Amino acid sequence: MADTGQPGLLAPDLDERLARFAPEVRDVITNLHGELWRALDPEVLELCRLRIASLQADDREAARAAPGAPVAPEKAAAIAGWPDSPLFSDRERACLAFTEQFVGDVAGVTQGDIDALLEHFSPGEVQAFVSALLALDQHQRLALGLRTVLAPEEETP
Amino acid sequence: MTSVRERRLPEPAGPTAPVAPGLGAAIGAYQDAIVRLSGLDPVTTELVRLRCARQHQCFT
Repeated sequence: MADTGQPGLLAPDLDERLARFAPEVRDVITNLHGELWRALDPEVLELCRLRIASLQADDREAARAAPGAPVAPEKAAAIAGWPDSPLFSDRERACLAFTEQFVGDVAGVTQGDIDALLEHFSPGEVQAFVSALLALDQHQRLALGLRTVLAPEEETP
Repeated sequence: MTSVRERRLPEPAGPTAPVAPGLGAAIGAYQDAIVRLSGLDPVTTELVRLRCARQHQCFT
């Protein structure tokens, strides 16, 4: 992919693999990731992206430039320990708690998890947040999956 | 625990504009593109879809 000097919407290796193996998917997933940062406060979404990366031990995703809005470095560094950190607002905490449940066991999301979001967001905003979370989670799982499945073969001379 | 099949967001009192209309459409386009991929035959693709739904207890 051409280096535009701007943070890419997709992880670089995922972007490159989709361009090779499924360009039609690359186009729509790129459009999807352009839309999701407009769905809600991009700083909140960026915190959730970083938390998903830490939950999935995806160091590449955690290290790449923020595709939406950058967050303060001290908040990014504290993301895995957010429950004990004073850096995060109640609004961010509700989103991060929901993110952890969503990534770990989406069917186990409770009414309490949703009500915690509704204290800070309208129902429409909650729906947009969950949709954005779905896209962020799928992106990281897809990047990790392709990296795991394809990398050994690609490295074979 | 509330069943995942129960409605969990309050119904709006009246017509409301969608918060992120482009996002919903983009997710739909993404799902359509995935299903239309030709590298895997349709029956196997459907089996994978059903397996994912069961894994996530999605009954819709």
